[in-house]
Amino acid sequence: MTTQLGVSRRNEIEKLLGAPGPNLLKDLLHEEGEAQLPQGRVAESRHQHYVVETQPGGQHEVHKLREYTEAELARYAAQPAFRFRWRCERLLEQAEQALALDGESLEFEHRATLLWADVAALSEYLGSAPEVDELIAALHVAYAQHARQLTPKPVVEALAAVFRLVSQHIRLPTKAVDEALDALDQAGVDLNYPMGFAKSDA
Amino acid sequence: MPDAFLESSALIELVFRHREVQRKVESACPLGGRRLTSRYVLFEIARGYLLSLLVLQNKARAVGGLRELRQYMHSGQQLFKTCRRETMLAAYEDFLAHLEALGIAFTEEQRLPHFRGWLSQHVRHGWRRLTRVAEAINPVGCREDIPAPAQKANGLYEQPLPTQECGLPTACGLDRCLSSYHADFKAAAEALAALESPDAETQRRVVAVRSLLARNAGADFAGKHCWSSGDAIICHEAPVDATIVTKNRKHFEPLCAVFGRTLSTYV
Repeated sequence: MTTQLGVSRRNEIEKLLGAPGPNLLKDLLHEEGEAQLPQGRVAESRHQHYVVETQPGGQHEVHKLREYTEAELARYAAQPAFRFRWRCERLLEQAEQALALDGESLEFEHRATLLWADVAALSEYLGSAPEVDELIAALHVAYAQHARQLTPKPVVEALAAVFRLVSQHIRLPTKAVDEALDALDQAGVDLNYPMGFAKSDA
Repeated sequence: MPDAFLESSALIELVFRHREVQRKVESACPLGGRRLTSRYVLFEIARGYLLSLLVLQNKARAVGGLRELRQYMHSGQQLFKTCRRETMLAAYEDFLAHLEALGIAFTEEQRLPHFRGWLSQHVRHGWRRLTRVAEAINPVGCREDIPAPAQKANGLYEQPLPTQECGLPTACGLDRCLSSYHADFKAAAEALAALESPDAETQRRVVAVRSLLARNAGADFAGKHCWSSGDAIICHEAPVDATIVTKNRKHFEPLCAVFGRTLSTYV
């Protein structure tokens, strides 16, 4: 149950977040966010916020507020597409840890199995953005082919390439999705795998 | 080594179907030769098979759920577009079966974006592969300016095809091709007309080829006559020393006999 003290603290936090201009809380969040985001990303949009004041005489006056990067905005109210990217960053770490191992070892297969379980769980991000949906659909096609059998190392390398691509883009462009698909294709993933279940005929 | 000439059904299966079917197509291709196709085949795929997938993709963006999408495919307006309806239903049913086999629990809200996501990348990836798996020749002089399917700002896909110009003798090389090989096509129409109980498609083809041949060279023609003559044009444009690879034995066998082409089919 939320206590009175908890409610007033929450209100205070909301006030600080909503207040124009920088403050200690925002600075702290910015610093934490910066630390989470690796460098070398593709250029991102910047959002300049303004407020329009309508005076009693009807005149409008525009006051400039703060400028935010896309990532900064996302940190305050993370959109599902951003959360997908963060999840992919973690998956990239997992894939890289697996790739450091011998592809024939039991430990490698164990880590690949855990990775596939997390790939399956990406379904919670469906609907975030069309490009995210496309990637998840492709990753699930790969999952369908490898979840119940030994995973070849090139497939894990392709998964790492996909997660790396996602982590490099603030907003995932179609071109990056196509690049990711090609990486899976080249690793031996049959991207047309679903086109064989029912009675489909070309 | 003879080259393989992939007509539409074989090229679609090589590019858009799963690996097992791809292997069947590959096994029907002569070993060691090149894989060829044609601009005419690519145009036929774009205005037929691929257009059906694009229609489905765009409809999937407009509906609120997979059930609504299914209703659309079974609606009265699709009844007379048999090929389009079958292509759409096949892709849809294949995908649903894949989802069931995945063993992941999806909510109804997740199934639609999953389908849209899969179909969208399937279309783009397929188009890229079309030009990678085979070298496109163009003896007929069919259009070379077919753009790739692209997403508009509203999220819908489009692939503007110059179909409005089909039938203008200056828009492509078909008119010149028919003038040069008038006798070949006349023989094909006669052979097809002489077949015992020809199917509706063959009957349409006979009418279309005869109509194209009956007009004066340089005169306009109905674009649909070019489309209905498709298999005859494709069979004729295949290089003489190449092997035509097709799943469509029924329509290509009599044409190959007339034009003296080698045929390789698979089931």
